[in-house]
Amino acid sequence: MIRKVFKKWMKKKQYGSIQFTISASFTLISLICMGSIGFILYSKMVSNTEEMTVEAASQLLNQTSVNLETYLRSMMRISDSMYYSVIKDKDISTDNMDSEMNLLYEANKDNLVSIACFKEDGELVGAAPIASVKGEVDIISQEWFEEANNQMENLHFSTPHVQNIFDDSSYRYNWVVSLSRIVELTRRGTNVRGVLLVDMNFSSIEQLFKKSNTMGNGGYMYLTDSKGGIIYHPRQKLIDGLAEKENNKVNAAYEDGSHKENFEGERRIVTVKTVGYTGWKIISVTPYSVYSMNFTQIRYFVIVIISAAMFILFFVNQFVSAKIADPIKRLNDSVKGLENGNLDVVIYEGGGSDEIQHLGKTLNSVVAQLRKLMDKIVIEQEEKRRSELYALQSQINPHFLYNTLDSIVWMIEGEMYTEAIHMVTHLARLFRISLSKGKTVITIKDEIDHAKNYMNIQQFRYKDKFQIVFHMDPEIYEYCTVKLILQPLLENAIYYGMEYMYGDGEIIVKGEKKEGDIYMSVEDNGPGMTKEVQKDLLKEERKIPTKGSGVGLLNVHKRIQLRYGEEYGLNIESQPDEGTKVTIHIPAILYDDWKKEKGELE
Amino acid sequence: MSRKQWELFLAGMALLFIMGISIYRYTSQIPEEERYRLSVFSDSNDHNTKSILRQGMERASRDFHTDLNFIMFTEEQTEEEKEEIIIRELQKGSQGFLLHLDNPDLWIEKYSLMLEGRIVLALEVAFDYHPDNPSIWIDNEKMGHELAMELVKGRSENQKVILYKTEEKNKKDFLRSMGGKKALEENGIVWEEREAIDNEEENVLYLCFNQSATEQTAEMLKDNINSKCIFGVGNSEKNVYYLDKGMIHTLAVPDEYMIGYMGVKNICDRLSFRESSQGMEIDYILVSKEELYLPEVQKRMFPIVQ
Repeated sequence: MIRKVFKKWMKKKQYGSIQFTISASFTLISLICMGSIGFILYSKMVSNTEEMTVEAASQLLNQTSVNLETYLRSMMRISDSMYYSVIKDKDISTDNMDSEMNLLYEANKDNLVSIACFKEDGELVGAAPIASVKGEVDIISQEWFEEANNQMENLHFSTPHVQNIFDDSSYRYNWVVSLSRIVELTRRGTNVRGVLLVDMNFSSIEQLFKKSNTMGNGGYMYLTDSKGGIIYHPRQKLIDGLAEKENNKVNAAYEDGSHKENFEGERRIVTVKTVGYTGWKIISVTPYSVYSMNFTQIRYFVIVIISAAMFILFFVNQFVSAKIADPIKRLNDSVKGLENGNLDVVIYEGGGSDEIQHLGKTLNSVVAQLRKLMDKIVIEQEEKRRSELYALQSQINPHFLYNTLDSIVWMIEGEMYTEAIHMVTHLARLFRISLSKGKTVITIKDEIDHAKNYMNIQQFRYKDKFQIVFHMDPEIYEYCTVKLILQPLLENAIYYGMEYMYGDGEIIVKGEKKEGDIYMSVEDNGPGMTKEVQKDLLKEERKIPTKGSGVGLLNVHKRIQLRYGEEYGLNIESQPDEGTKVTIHIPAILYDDWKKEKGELE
Repeated sequence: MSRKQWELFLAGMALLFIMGISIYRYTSQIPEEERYRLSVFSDSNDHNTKSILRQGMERASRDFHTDLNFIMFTEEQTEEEKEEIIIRELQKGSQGFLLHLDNPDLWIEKYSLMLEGRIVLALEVAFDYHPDNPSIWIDNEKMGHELAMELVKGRSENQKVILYKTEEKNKKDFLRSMGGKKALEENGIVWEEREAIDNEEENVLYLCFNQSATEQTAEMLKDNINSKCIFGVGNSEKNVYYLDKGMIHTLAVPDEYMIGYMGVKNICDRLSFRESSQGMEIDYILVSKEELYLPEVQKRMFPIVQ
């Protein structure tokens, strides 16, 4: 139903025209292609922007990681220096390591809060800056002490905490990261275990990350321990106050590298890097809203470009489709004239593609052929009309009729009733076959009968002037022929051949089938004719004076050729004083077969 | 193409060109978020409180693209001087005011005409008489009550209880005092109220309702380390030191950072016509010496990395 309505609408709006089809098809294809290109372009740009964002975040992350590791290494060097350069050379029972410790502390006090060395039982061996341990603090149960003992071969970094080991009457408190390790202390020549503690100022790490976060592109960076516990976060207090959330546990579990995630309804890229020595994780977070700021501009840019391209393409399509369709339209318009029956119309073949020009030329050629055919048909019809006219004319030729009727009258007057009856009978038969119910094609048998009837009548009139002999092969009787072809030849033979004969005139009519064709001849032994006369006999523009209706031979010849083609017709052979032979050449077509094909149309 | 089609084509191209330029220029500009201007009035003597509160507000001002102007009154300033400063600030055209004052209700009544429908928000204490104005508040009465209950738990039979006197005009302290008194009454404990602690007495427990009172009391009793006789408020460095030393038994510590942050956020939400609550209660914690260095407590008690 919808298709019907659509087709009706298309027809009404003339949207079925070739120009519209070409234009619409091109436009649709352009739209699809441009849309695809635009989409791919936009996707690629978005992808590139994402990659660039990830790359920038990774670079900043790497730099921060390097800075942090450098810092941690420096702290480790301090610990190593303290251990290998000071502690190892000292006997704690006799030597004091405070001065060296102080020296080391003073050299690094910007990053250090304190350096301290404890015995295995938690007793303080030495510390810088010099301070006393709080009485209530149990050194052995401190996390840094326990971990140092657990990781004997390695250095241990604690998570940030407030240092609560030493008394400080200045009311200050310090956030530190404790670097602790097991050390070998020498006491009276024996080795005893101890723990070296280097408390790093956490503000150094905090400043490092604050700086990185200000350099960032809208995202932020934070630091966790290996289990995901936050060490530093730019929004730590808000997270602690439950005003915000962070996906720290999940992020810390990621492998190093970039990951996309969706957290609290926000898409973001998370880049993770593990810090050496500590197992800490630096996590960079770039929210989608940060790097998608450019997407709007890119999107609009792509839309404008695509729109402009589509706009241009639309007009180009119109132009191109008009160029293609215009010659076809002109061709179509010129053919319309032809459709209305005007064969004089000139088909457009001036422009357009080679095919259109060829089509125009071919149509012109077809129209020309049509005109020729039409003319041929007209001529044929004219010939037919003339031959019918001739036939009628000869049938009702006044002289032939008068003479024949005269003959009948004097036969009756002469009481030659039998001859009169014969004459009337032959005349009737003559008229019957002549008319043949209006057919132009009859059997050869009928044609021969017509000829015989004619000759019978003529013999009455031209008593004993000539003989007529019919040698017809019965095989040819059932073949068809154009009617009234023998009688004109016989008439000519009588008028031109027998006129000057006195009883020795002879007309022989033959008929046979040979090589698939029918040959019938009328031969007389009359005076014959010259080659010149013979040559012009079958020409339209002949200058030969004629008797009777005067169109007999040419009429017969033309009719045969019109019916059967130019390879058929009459052939005249004549020798002066010897006689004339006119041969009729027609194809052998059985009358029944002809009737089946065309007989009914006649 | 016909002339008409050419004209249409050129007109369309021109239109597209103009559109393209306009869109490019529009999207090239980094959209400037509207910045709000807020004024903060504070008459608190607690340096530590002001410092942490300010940190929270400054964090929020960065998050919500706001400019803050802090007006911190000191004890040395006279009332006339304070009023002159306030009026000058009110005339500057701030879109909102955060009041960290002893009595925000009085302030609104005094300057209501000049406020012209601008948003006024109270910090640490809620409005009583202007409930339409938002506030970020602590349940001061409850805090005083719980602090007093710690005192009740830690008190031995013969110990005397001295309350640091509060003025009614200082609403925050007054509410805490009310709560504390209620707790003592409920437990049948008799107390004495004093305006200042100027000498040391034996066998006394002190209940202080603000940071400075706590500090002063601790200073007074600093020779009596480990006495665990002070129940106070505030996480100043001194208070924390004395708590660590054992002189202070329990400290009540509100989350000043969140108060400051949420205060600015609330006003900005209102100015941007985003959904916001009428007010928000911020929690507090009660910390003893044993809990001082617990990881979750450390972050509250030692909020600033030095």
